[in-house]
Amino acid sequence: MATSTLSPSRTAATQNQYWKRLRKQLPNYLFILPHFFFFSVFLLYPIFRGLQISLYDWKIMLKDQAFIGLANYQALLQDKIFWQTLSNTAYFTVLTVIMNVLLALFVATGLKHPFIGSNFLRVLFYAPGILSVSVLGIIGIRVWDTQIGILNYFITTMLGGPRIAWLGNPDMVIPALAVTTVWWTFGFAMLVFIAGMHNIPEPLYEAAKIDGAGPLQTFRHITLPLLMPTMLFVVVTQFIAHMQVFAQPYIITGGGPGNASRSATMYLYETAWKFFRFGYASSISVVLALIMIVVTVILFTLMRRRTEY
Amino acid sequence: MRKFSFGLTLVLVMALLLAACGGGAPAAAPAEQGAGDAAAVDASAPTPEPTPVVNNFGECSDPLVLWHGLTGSDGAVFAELLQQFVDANPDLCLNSEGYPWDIFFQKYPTAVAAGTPPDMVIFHAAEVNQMASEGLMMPMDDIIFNDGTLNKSDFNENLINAITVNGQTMAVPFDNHGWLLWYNTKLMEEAGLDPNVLPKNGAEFIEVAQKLTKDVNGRHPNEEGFDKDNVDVWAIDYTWPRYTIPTTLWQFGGGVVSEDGKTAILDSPESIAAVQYWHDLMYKYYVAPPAIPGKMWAGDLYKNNKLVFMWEGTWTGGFMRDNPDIAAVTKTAYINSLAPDGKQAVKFDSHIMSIPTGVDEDGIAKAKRLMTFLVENGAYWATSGQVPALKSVQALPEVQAIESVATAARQFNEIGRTDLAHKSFIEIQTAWETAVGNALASPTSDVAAALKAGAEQVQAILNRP
Amino acid sequence: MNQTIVYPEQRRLGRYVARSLLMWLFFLPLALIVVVPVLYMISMAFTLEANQMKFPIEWIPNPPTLSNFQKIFVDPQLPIVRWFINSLVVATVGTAIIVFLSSLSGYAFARLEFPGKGFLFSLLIFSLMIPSAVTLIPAFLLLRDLKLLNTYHAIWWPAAASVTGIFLMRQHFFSIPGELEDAARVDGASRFRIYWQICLPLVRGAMVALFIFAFLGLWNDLFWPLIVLSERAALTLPVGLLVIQQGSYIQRGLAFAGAFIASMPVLIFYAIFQRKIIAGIVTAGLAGR
Repeated sequence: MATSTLSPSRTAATQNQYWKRLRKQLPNYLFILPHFFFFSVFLLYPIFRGLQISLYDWKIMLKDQAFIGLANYQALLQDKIFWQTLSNTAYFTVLTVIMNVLLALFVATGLKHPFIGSNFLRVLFYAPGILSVSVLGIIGIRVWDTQIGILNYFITTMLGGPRIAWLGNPDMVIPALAVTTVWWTFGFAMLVFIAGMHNIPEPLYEAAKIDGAGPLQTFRHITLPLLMPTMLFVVVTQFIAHMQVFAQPYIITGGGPGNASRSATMYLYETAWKFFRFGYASSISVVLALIMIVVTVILFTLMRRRTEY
Repeated sequence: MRKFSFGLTLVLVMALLLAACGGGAPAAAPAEQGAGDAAAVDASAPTPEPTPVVNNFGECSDPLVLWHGLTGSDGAVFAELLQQFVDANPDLCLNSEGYPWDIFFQKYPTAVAAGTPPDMVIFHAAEVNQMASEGLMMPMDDIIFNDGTLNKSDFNENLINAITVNGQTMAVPFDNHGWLLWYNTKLMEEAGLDPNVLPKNGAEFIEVAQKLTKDVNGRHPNEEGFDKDNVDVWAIDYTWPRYTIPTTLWQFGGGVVSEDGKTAILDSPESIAAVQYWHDLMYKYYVAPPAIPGKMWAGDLYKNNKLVFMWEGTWTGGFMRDNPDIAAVTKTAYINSLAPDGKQAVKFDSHIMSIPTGVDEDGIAKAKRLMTFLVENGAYWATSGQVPALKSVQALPEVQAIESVATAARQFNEIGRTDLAHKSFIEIQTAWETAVGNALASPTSDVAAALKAGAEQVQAILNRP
Repeated sequence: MNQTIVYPEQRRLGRYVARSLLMWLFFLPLALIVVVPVLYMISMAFTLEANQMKFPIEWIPNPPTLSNFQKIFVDPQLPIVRWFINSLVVATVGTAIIVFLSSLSGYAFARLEFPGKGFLFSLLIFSLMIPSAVTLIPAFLLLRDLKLLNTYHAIWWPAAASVTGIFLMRQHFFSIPGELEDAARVDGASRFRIYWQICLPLVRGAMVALFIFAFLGLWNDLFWPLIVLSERAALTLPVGLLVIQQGSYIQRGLAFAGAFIASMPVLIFYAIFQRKIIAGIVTAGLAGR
């Protein structure tokens, strides 16, 4: 309550003034009310409810759920599949983010200054991002197919190499999914980088040119440091997005071979909607959230420190 | 500016309209919305609830709502059966919705829990124990068996045991379906083999398989210069582990879980030998395509004369109808044994019919009539390739006339086994399928270690209270 | 004409062309990598079922066929046009809600004063770090209890809770000079009128950007619709494609025809409005910075 913050020692005049201001400001809440209603119902409340459900052996049909304390979390600590899916996800995310950033940086540097068809290329490179992830999956299955895949087509016909079982090899399957994802998403990072590069003042480059700096030096000493805030943004958002990867393994590999490409979110989905273990799935989601929050904070501090040059 | 305001107003009006009807109607009220196809087409329509495409049979105000997963070529035959039902029962009408199984198993518990169940569902015998343990099904004894409407002893006994939970039979089998050997007689003859003499055990099979498999240059796997990356004809395909692996495990005397349901035996010496046998077929003898995700479907190979022995479902009957050329050179037989001693076994399952928890008296009565009709008209269902559930129907001449169905019916009654019923069935199945996937993933994969890991995981599931 | 002027220009032009050639040399392989899978999809959509598995790949369908499309349009179990319209409805309405609510809240956080503003705003920032995984199950159960599962409300209202749009709108509302509002206030305009008639039109660029960004997000989302929708005809396009792909493993052409139908309108739309869309993506994409 706003009134409780008022100390009784205040004079009636200030109190009166306060009330007047509050009455004037009160309608302002109406502006944030609609969003805040949905925000509370579908974001704040579920966070606490999720914590609560994770303490139960939650069954969909029961009226009274069985409270089991931290048993779900104890089981989770020993759940090898969970830890494997977690490491799969981390591997996938790191690979994807690194490849995305490097490729986008490279392309953005090339496309920064216009040339014949540079705009066309920019539009083209973002185009895969417009496709639905289901379309990506349908295409992806065929790109990596051992028997009739596009990649193996080029390898066998143009390079004369053997067919490679991309998705059948536990060591190759996550890189394959990461490359698929980079194909789909590097355009976004590229657009953001181009925008970021255009914000770097041109005189800096001219000064560097006068000093006799080559393109590589200019890139290292001007473009890269000044692009750091943009980079931070791209890395953190991509990190959050790719840590939640679901559709690529779900459609393209089904999590296989074995559990080699099963992602944490996919495991969460299966635990809840395939095995009906909602309580256990909730404990997975809580641990997943904790890990992601911690990593996000670490990333932020690391990159922030780097940014202050 | 004017243009902008117009767009903005449109947006606002839309949002307000939606907020106004924010309550929304419950999901499972398809009947009222049946004709409203056009309603959802308009973005600003006052009722944005989706209207399902349903197969409606007959006309009445209060249809029997049926959910199932029979969508492929099965689905077409099933729809004909439903039409026959409403023709014979003009006082009833039907509303039948088919879903992919994944979506079915997500939607069914949700609907029951929300208090809006369909009147009847069809899924598999294997999942009955789990669904019953979750409290989603009604026992059928008092509804359909005890009054003599259907005779329990006319069904496969193993099957009835599998769908009986705590002494109560929870469902009515509609068919028996499962693995059957489909083989290409033409390719056998071309390899100089007699199509009427089939290998009887694992050793004989490898001998035959090496004669059948050949690369694009016509060389066999046991010959110098065999090109394992360009194989033209494969002897056998692993097809679908869900059926192939239990079948092989049982032939070898192994399994996933012991009979009493208490111990995981996926890593028993027999089970390891069984999976190792498949590993050898793929990576040592090169007579089966490696079992990797996204590998070509056995049917595609078979259709193009690139596969000789196809272990596939009884439902392949529909596929054969669509591909008469290949059907002409195809014969069916019991699943051949791969075990050293030639022990036979085959996995089968069943589409079962059941009534979800919470269906009212009227719904139960209607569902009972449909169930009885479907069971008694199993002969028509046999045209899809599936085996009718009643032994008395299996014996009918028109059923026996369909070669694959007649063979499969005998096979299931003689050597057929079902998956162990368990309240965490789906999770156990996922665990062993993953373990076997790991075991067969590559030439260097360690079969014993992968199965041991799988067995530990299955055991952990079994140990849960 | 005047040689001394034309000559350097020609040289500059020559350098421009040379640089372009060099760049294309660099980027052509990448461009091909981007294009080839899409061309493959188009090609397979027009390839007979019997030729789907041909290897080496037949890049130009021989003979080209519409049979995959015929099969999709004839099959009542695969109402792809319906799915397309569903996606359009889901994405348009959902985006409208997001844009409207975000602009309201963004305006309040930028231009209005009220007690607890700082706290509420930091709550929004904090929520950015919460992955959607944690709200998944509770939100699902809540929607079930509200009997909203299998309705599009189950997609719209959770989407209405999203916060990224607020940051974007807030940033842009900040940049409006305060004199405009003061003048309107002197004229006796109400708070809502100032927001609606004065301020909102000034940030329409940001609104368009947010609209594009949010629309693409809803249009392409698979995970949440997969969980909350299950009536066949009610599915959105991404889920519907999954149904085609999962349910028709013998009919591979169908999946590609479905993918073609799903992608072409969007790609054409993108090609036409590329400038606006790219600008919008960049603006909205950078909002969280």
